[in-house]
Amino acid sequence: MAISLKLDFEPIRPRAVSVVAVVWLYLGVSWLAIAFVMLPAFVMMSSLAGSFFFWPIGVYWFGVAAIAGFAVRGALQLLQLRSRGRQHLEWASWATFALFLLFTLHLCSAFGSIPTYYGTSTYFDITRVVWPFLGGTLMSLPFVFMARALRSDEVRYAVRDAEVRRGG
Amino acid sequence: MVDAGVADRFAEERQQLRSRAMLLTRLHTWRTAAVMTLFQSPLGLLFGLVALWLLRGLGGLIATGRAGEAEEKLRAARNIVLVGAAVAALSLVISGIFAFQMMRALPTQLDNFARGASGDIP
Repeated sequence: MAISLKLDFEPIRPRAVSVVAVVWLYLGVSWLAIAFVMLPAFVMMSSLAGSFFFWPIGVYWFGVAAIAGFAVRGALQLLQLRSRGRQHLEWASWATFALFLLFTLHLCSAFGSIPTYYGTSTYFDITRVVWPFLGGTLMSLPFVFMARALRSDEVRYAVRDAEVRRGG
Repeated sequence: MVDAGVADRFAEERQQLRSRAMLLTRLHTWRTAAVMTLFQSPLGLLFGLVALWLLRGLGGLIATGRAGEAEEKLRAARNIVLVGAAVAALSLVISGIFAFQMMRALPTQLDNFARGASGDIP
């Protein structure tokens, strides 16, 4: 299937549309570029460790790369005020929020699990995970704001009007 | 004839409002791009700051109807942001490749270190 991108951007857009689309364009392209380098690094580190010890990092990176690819296309469509672009970026924002939270919980479980003196079991020290949890949650919150902004009446009416003008 | 005159006057006002809205849209777009370039990489910081400096006070210019001046500043900021984003993306990929090279050299370095630490140097 040929991928065609029409770059005839809408000249007038709500502020939230421009901000969210440009933020996702930058995030998407940067994450794809980093994932391009991280893919061979992940494979190499796994083979060095002799096990699949690094698999959680790999899962998160590939998740981020998949969302990034999806979001770049969505951002280009949203700049043209297409309804599909709005929908795709909303999904991408929620997916990134979920992925960041999962990563945060994963880190918290690793930081908070302390082996007992004899090493036979572990106990969970909640004081060690307060800052990682707060940091991870704060980093994932902007994606909730973006998803909420894309659902606002102003954005949805603007997208609907543009679709009607286009005759779609 | 009177009706046509009234309609023409409103058409001009509509056109003015439309061109202001278009400029504001471009301002929001390129200001966001400048902020994102600023955070993209250390090199992007330079370009982003210059672009943001160029874009300051542009909302006032658009509101007072000085479209020509605003257009000129927007164009300059856009060029700086585009070059900055390209440079920042390139530096990001190059630093990633360097990090990968360092990771690839890690086994040899660890091996050398282990041999040195045990005194088993051939």
